[in-house]
Amino acid sequence: MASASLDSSYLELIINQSPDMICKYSLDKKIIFINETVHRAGGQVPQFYVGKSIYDFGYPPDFLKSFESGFDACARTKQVTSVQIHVPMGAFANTHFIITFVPILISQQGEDKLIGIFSVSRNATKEIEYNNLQKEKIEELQILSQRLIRKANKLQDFAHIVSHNLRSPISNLAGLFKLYDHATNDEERAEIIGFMKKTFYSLGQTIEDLNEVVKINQHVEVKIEKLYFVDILLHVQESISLSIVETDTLIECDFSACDAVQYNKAYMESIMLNLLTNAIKYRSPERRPHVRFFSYLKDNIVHLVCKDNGLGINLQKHGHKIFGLHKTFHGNQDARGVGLYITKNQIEAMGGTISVESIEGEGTTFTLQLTIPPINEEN
Amino acid sequence: MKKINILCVIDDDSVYHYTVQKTVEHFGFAGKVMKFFDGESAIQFFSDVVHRRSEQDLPDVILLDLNMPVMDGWDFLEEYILLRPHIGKPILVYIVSSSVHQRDLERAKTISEVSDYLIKPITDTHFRSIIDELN
Repeated sequence: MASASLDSSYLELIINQSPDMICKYSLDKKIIFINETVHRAGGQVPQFYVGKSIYDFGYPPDFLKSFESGFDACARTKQVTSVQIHVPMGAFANTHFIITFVPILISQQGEDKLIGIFSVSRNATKEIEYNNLQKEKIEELQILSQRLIRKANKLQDFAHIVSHNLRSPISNLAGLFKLYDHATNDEERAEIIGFMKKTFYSLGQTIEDLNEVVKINQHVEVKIEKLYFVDILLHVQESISLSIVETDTLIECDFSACDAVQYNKAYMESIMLNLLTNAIKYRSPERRPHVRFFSYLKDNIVHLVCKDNGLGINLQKHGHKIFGLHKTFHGNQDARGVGLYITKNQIEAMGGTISVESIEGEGTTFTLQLTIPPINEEN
Repeated sequence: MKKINILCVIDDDSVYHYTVQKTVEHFGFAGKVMKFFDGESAIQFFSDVVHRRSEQDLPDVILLDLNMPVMDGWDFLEEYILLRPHIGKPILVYIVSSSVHQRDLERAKTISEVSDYLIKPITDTHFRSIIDELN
């Protein structure tokens, strides 16, 4: 005999054998009924639950808040409402539930009157944890792809730099060879050879500079050691003492807030040397050159600052190329435009950053974030 | 052969200046060569001439480099375009650069003052076509 409706005696079977926990509540959130799944899973007799309010089980506030939001929304709208809840403790510790609240309505004078609410709680721990894992993986992949994009951009920049910086001396050589062919006397030829030598030398310099950058970016294991800023600065000052004396440069330092850093010695020396020579090179003719180095710790990152009272630079005009290779701004004779590019590469290879602030005619401040690599105890 | 009366070279590279000077001398392409090592000193000269109203000092052809310290070629062009309405004499401006960057080539095309974009090294063939353009 076929029937369109289900014998109501089966309903109890379905309710009690359901893998979902089913409860019925009064409007004041008291439990009126639980299916067998609840006490099977919770290991408690039905009396433990029935007649008690949802607030009587010592659930943490977060749990109650989520429960209330679903329950109250269902009561207010008289619509089926679902919420996702994480149980942190008790028999269901670390379980995620999706709770669906179903309003129990009776028709009274043509209006739906709410008399209670059913909740159907489905254990969704596995899928939610899986989703969370997916999210984490996606975030990881996004970070990785950003890193790759940065790396690709850097490589492209480098390719441009190589192409541009090799092109100009090579085109000069080509021009000189052509001149040589047209030369009419030995004197002219000797002069042309002189220029060829000069160009060839600068080509060699360029290749050396580019090699330096490649080396820095190869990430070969650089030795990390504890370096005192003052030691490095003294060493650097000594190596260029002649130009310091000649230019009467006043150098001050204050490393009291953070006196040392875990870093590669050769890099730190090169970085401080470049900052100092840069400050001296672009000194203002109007005042005594004054360079100040200081350091501090912020967000657990060692910061090093180099501040000068030199010419300054128009960052709006030149800001995008200040750390470029072979870019000079002041028409300075001995400016090779190498230092800051190398400095930037060294700092970035160590995971740090360099930024610049400047006011034309007043001076320039370089701020370095030297990310501290983990200390290797064996060193 | 017709030649350039005054040629103006704006470039920070002294070897390049030398090759231009020598090529011009050898073939007799120009009467006079003016040299500037960055855009700023060049634009200073142009604005002085405009103020003095001595147009006879102005060049017929400018060879302009892009990558220069102090004021680069693009910045020079910006200032030059502002001066242009005050100058009666026709002047041909050529960008001469070792940059083969598409971005630079495209940008040069958008500036109507620029006659052409020449890629270094500059040779006698270039000068011959510049002189043809002058006629």
